[in-house]
Amino acid sequence: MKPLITVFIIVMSIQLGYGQSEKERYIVWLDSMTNDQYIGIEMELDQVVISDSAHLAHLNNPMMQMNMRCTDQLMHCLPGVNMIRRGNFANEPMLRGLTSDRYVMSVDGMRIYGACTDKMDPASSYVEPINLKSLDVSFGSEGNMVGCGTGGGVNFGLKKPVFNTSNPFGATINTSYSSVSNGFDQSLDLNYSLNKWAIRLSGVHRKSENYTDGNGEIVRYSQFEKTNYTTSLNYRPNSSSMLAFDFVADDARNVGYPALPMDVAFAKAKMFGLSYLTDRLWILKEPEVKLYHNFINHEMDDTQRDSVAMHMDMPGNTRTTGGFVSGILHHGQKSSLKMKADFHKVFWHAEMTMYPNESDQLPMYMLTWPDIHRAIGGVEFGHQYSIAPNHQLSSTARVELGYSYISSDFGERQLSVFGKTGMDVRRGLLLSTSIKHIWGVSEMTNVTTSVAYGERFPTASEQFGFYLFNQQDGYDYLGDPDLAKEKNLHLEIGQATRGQNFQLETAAFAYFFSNYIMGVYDSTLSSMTIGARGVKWYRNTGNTLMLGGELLLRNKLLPGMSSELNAKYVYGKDADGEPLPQMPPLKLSYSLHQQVKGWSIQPEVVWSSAQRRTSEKFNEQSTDSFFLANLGISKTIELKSGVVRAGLSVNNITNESYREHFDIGSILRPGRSIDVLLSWRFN
Amino acid sequence: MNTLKILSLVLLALLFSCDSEEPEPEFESDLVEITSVTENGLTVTILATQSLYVGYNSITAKVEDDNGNLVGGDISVLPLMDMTTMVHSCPLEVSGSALSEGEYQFNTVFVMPSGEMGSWSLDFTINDAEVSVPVEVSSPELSRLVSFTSAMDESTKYFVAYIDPKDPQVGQNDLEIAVYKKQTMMEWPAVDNLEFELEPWMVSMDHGSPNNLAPVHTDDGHYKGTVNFTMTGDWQLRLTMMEDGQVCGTPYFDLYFQ
Repeated sequence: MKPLITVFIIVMSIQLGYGQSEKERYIVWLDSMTNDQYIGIEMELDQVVISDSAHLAHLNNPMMQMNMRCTDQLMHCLPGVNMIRRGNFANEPMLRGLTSDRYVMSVDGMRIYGACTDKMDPASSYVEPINLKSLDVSFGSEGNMVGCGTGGGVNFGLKKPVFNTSNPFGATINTSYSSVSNGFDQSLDLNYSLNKWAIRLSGVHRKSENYTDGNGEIVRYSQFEKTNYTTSLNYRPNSSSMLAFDFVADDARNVGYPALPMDVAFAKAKMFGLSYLTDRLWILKEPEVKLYHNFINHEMDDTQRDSVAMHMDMPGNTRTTGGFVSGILHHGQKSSLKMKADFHKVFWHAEMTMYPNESDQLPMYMLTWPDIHRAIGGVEFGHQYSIAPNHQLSSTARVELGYSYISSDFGERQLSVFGKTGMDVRRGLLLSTSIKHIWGVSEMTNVTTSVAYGERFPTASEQFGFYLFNQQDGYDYLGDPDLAKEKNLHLEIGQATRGQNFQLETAAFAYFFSNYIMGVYDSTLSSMTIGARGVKWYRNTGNTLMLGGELLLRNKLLPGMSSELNAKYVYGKDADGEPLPQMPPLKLSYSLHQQVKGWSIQPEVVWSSAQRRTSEKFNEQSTDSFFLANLGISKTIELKSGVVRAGLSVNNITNESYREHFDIGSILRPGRSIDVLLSWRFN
Repeated sequence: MNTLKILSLVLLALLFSCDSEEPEPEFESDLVEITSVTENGLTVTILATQSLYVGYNSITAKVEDDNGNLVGGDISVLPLMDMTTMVHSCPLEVSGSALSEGEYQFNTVFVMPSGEMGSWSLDFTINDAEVSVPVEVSSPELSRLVSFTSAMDESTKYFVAYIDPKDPQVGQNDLEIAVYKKQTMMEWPAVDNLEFELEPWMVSMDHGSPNNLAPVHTDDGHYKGTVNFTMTGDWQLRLTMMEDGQVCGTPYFDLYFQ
């Protein structure tokens, strides 16, 4: 909820001035959550808001509109974010070079954990852009009001039903086609409201065949099909409170992962959330109380492959249950204090059955996630304080208590091989705190300096994983139940300058990790997976350094014409002074954006430098530089009964044959693609 | 943990799902009756955990008189294989020579199955009365006895018997084997001066398992170690047997478990 609160409160306070009472202001905010329509994207360096809000600018960016088709493409465009590909589906977001092990992912504040031991299903793969209200990305140890991580957080805010008594029914239909994979997407979004009730239903179906890379080669096993259904129900018993229920079901089938030795038969997620918002509850102003539950079933499949060394079944599942209370404790002229108390418990199970080629040999069974339980409770405070008219301090502090253990006897026996136990409950305390100073140097310029410190628990795989094969470096990985928490001291300096015709934002960061968790080769162990290079233990490796930054420059060139330059870079050095694996090299993108009479045209070029700093331990190969050219065109027609929007984009016009450095395997990314999008909103 | 407890109570008292712990079914390894013979006024009943097989068998003999009373006194046993042209025995472990409440426990390593070649009997002498109990010895599905001629000395024939783990499980297992050699037809002494290397091997995937402890001699030709299995399936327990640092054989046992 943070992006919404911050954005809307700012917007509203500007619009409404100080004349209103807090309660009225809150009602306006609550109204706004359920009033605005249409999709837009507001993007800044440290925050991204995808919104229905008509107030926000940059609504007509055609590339963004095209990218709204799927979460992967959408996130791909964000500053500081890269998407790791294992195939054409369920890319793993990487925040400033850090993978999903290190940051916290949540949907509408609800914690959710992927159910695949090979990270085939980051939580982002269960969310569709059509259901997004906002997307909040925080980096490093910044407090994000969701959980403790050393790499930041991603929260997908879910769209709420619209209350509109004068026009109770609304609908949006989208359909799109992508030539590179012969992919068809359809989505439908329905909204109906009564006096106190509003309901929103949405459905998405996406189906894609194998895509073609820049060499004209068909990338086999890159197909996918998925459906997503969402139901949101809101009830407003009075103007200042709301009861909201959300249900999201996501069902992906026959998903190919060309970079991995296996595909996915199905990946199914169900999420349930129930929240209550009101203007005051005990000492809390504008609280949200939420309970949620979600579960994911995931099953890998290799039966479609031509040749496999050995057929395997690898099902996995996770269940997460939790809740939180958040609100404002104090809201004054100079300072405000908000808090959140949250709790969740999660259960992971994954197993592997291998079927020998000789029929007289028995199948082999292992528990790769041996019924892992973890419970986490946290309290977080966020404080904002105006020291002087041009100086603002914002600070966060979070304490998290957690414990984890395994409940499977079989898993315990597996661990006994290494003289370890998982049934002993391991408890831990995490601390995450940040302090940020914003200095208004001039009317146009802000300079932000921040110091943050964050800690995280090891992931399920890092703590209890059992012979998890990592395709990327070719090693089997073993978890260590006794891993210590990882720590990150995060320093950051940034500036934002907004002029009449330009906007320049820059950020530079340094991460000083200690106890950095990474796989360390153990020469005494022999690999389990056929063809693996050996076995690595997850270990606390010591001090790791990461440096990097982002730049965003927008210029208004002519009326209706603007340009945007984006740059991002990350440098990483591991505890031995060698390069960290999967570091994104320097990447620049430059786009022009022209708007004339409902037409919107956007040519774009993207350049990525080569990455020669490779991790030897990780068997990394260097990656060549590449250059891409894209073009997006869209036309919006306002009708009496709604809006029709048509979009056309050509991606990778030059049919460049390329891969990003952090992609898994040597699979190339898609070649030239012509995408068409048609959207029709009725109201 | 207090904060967490309060927090969880306040937030989610109802949402705790039950993690019910299912009790493990208790396994009773009762002895079953294998055979029974009445001779010279005595009834000898042979009891074992399973039917007798080629390998290391723990046997209990129960002795009763005609009235069904348990018999006390002295007892001795000799396993014999009658192959018509010749007779031989096999390794035998006894503790004492007295019946305790009518029962007598001993271990024997049958070195071949009953069949057309010949038949086994357990010949008891109980308080000077003789009772010969014919027994059926079968070859187990998975070999539990390996015999071979020493690579160092062709005149020495070793018999390596598998004892534990009887019910192998994923994880750490106690390993026990016993080694004997054939000195004469009737003398099968235990061998206590051997060294072993151990490598459990997953044949269908060609990998081993870590942190095993090769069996070392404890007493009476028994060697104990630790064997680890990282998954279910068909494992091979590969041993390298050495005498005075020189390899005298590489016996192995197949283990199938699910």
